[in-house]
Amino acid sequence: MTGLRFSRKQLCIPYAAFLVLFVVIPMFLILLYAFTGEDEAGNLYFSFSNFLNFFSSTSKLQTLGVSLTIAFITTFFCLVIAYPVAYILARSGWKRTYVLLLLFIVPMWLNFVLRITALRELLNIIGFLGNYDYVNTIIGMVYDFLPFMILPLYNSLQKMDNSLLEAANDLGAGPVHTFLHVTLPLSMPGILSGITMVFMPSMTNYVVSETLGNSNITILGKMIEEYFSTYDDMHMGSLISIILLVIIFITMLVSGGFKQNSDESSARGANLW
Amino acid sequence: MEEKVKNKIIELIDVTKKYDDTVVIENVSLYVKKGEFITLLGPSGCGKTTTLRMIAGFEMPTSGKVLLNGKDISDLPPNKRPVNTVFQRYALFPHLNVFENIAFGLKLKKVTNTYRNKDGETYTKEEHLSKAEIAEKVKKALEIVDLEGFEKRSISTLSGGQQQRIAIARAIVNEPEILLLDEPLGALDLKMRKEMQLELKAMHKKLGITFIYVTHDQEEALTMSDTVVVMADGVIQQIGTPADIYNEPKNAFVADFIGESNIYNGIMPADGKVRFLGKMFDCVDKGFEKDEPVDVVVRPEDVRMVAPEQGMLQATITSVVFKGIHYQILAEIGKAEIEIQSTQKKEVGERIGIAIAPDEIHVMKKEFTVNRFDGTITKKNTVEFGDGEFECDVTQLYPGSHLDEEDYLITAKSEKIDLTDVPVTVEVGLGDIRMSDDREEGGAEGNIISLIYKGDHYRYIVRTENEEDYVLDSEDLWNENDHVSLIIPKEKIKLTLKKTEAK
Amino acid sequence: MVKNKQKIKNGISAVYLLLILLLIYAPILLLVITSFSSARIIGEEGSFSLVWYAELFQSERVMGILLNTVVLALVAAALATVLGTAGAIGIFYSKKKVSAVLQGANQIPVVNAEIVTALSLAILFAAVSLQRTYFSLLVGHLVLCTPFVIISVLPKLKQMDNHLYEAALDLGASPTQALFKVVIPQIASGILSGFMLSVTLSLDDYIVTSFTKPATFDTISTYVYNAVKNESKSDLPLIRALSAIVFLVMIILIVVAIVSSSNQNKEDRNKNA
Repeated sequence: MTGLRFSRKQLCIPYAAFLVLFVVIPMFLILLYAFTGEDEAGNLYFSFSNFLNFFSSTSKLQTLGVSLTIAFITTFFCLVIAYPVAYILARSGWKRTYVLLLLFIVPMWLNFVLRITALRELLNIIGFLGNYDYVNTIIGMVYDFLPFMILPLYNSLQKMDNSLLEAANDLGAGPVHTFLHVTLPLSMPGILSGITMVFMPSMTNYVVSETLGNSNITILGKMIEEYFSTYDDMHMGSLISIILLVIIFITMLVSGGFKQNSDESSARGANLW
Repeated sequence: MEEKVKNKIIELIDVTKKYDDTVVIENVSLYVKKGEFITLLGPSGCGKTTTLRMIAGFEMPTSGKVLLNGKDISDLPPNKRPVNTVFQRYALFPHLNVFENIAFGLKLKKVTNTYRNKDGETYTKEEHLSKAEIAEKVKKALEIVDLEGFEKRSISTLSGGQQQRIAIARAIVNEPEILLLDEPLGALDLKMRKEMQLELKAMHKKLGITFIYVTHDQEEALTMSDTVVVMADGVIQQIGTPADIYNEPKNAFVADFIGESNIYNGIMPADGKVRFLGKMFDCVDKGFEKDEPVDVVVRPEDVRMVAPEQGMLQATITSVVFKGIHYQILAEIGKAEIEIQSTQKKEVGERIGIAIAPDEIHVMKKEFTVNRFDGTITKKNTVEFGDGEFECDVTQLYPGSHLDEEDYLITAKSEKIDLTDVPVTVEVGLGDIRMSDDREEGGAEGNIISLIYKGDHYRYIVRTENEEDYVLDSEDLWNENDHVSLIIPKEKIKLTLKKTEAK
Repeated sequence: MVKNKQKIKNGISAVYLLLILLLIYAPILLLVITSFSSARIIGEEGSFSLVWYAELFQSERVMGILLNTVVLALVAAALATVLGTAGAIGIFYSKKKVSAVLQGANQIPVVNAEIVTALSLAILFAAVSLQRTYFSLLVGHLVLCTPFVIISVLPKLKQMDNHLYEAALDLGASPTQALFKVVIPQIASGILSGFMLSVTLSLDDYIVTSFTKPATFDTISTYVYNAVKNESKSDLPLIRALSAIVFLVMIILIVVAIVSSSNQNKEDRNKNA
């Protein structure tokens, strides 16, 4: 096996080293910091205090609740708005639907802070800003993450074989029945993939909640940032990160993300280009 | 004898190739003469492509040597070998046009040019070919494959046949000593394939280089090659000219794989006499032991139909299919079946007599007359062999012995013997093994890896997980890859003590 | 009758898509329009004016930030592309187990919440008492981008006819030559989309940037976020003008991309015909 295969395999060494140094080790550090504290000399000691602190603090638990609620509502609205869009684009049989699809994705190329700022100005004009913090935050999240829901839905709906729908019609199924029993189940992978892409950022993207919620809403992402930049405490931040990781794990488990091919779940707009 | 052959361009000596623990090539030895058209023929998975890839340098043998012109090249990478390959799906570079594809090798090649300096001394320089030289060579190669003027075309605009020709041009333009062709016609339709067969043959003549060709199509192999190497299961079955292979297949596998065959079990009571299908026939084969079990092969086109009373055998026709030039007729002789090719039309149900000329009866040694395994006796007086465990009668090891209440063996001389872990040789007849699809029922289990129809029964090879093979005969039809468990009755397991153990 | 039904369906579909597009583009269009108003705050009276554009281009600070952002995106994307392409080739030719482990590690930053990735890197740099520098920022962006290069390139490798590499060797190319002359051209489209995706991700990023950047360094995202949070009256009008320009540039790039790709398609079709 000299020379032939060896040189090609070796090409992954730099990236493997990179992953270990900057992905795997940092994740272990999160785990380490979550269950340690720091004495005055700066030495780490093992401790459950962050854990106990989090789960005994009403305000922190409330933040967790708020984050989950915002994420659920955002995901729900994204799905409800995006499904018809994706369905029409994928199945209407119109010509040049890819240009239309592109119109829905173009805003993704505009810097998202600029986009949220633009939305803020609009909300300001219609008098929402400062009055409906939660509503604004959810509007912002839906606005920001909608394309992440449209893309996977579009992909799974487009792949669907037309003859399946014809078969359903042929077998006497009405449009509603066909949709519920054929289209919907077949687009499930797209729905699940969209949910995983929208749910997690909605819990953590504090740029949206800060900009549109007038800094009155604390979500988990914001809490990590606060502990990090205001209190210089990475231990509580790490513990919250662990909680987030557990939630990610559960969403993946529920949505079957582990079973999916990595190409399939090409998250966060990998199929943008 | 092999030592005497001159002009061996490629020689494989005792080559074995394993992937992890799976053996794909086992002890293959073979040589190729310079200028020869040799074909490696066999069913898929027989190791023919792996053999070719070892010659090309894409695979290194696990053990054994590959010699090129007498020099060991086993570890030489493919880019250093004077060998070019035509790949099964052409492997043309889609991002390059026809010219760039063909010129790919030429552009990389360096030639040694000799120059004379001012002082009149000669010196040599390693140089790439000039653009004009390359263009000239590409043009010639395109002429050879009949695609003049195709230089600028992109690969995606070519038909399958044209791509095939470009692939050949890309290989031969480098003037290799050996051209390797890995099922090059597999992706073409039948008509195109026939055409290309003739052209390849003509090209071989014109270029005068060695062709090593891999195919699973026996007809292709027979029409094109000087020499055919039949492979199965990583082992060479037979090497010979197409005529040899067809007329004198060495074993039942080759007979079955090359052309249509009727294969029967027979015995040789004497030289020139063979008994099969319940009758004694004259034949031309000799040199077998008296009453040695043999395989008898008769080609369908060699079976003559005569009036019932004139035939050696009487048969009833069960099926007649028109095949263009001849009829394919199936007939029953008692329980056995015979296939006949004839230009005579017959009716289903008609009684016929069957005659076979002595020189059309091919007698070949049976590969397997008995399954032989190394085994050991267990505590429970069962025997472990061939990836399984079977009940057996251990008293056969010592004449006159019996088992006591505690299951110890008591010999005729009343000696008590503990047989635990005693190594034995196990023999089981081909007809003594039964297959079942109930996994629990048998002592071992495996998959059917081969079946050959032998007139009145099938010959199966069942391979276990750890690559132990059981050969067995059965009248029932199973499918290849069926998972079966193997049942051997206690009394059919013949045990003998290993010589070292028997004092 | 059926035709009419279809017409109505199409009409409803079109209206729905139009409505969603309007909502998506409304904030951006508002920003573009108001950027031409001399008013400092939206809603205030003003006249048509290019004053904010003039000020924007004269502001060395904002121009510097713009340059920073673009340079960072290009450098990060170029490095990520090299690292990721080599990594993908290495992963593709590695043994199954190695490849599965590396692909698993590669998915970590993809499925992870950005804030967790950001915090983990901040902890790493704090733990080795490295100041946050341009290097840490670059690492942050590489962690963000490289996995997507892998995700873009790996499928192309899988699609590639494996015999092409062997054919190159067979024709006398060394493994390195075969890699550059055959493999890389075959996966070029994947490499390109990996690069573009990296540029987009880097330009878009706020969270990782804010956790890994040196204090004095700003990208558009961090600059705009802070300006909006502090309700900086001097910066907000400039941001409108900036958004309008960025949006315009995006639109131009996308139109060019569409036109050139449809020309490409036409050419291919003509060739095949």
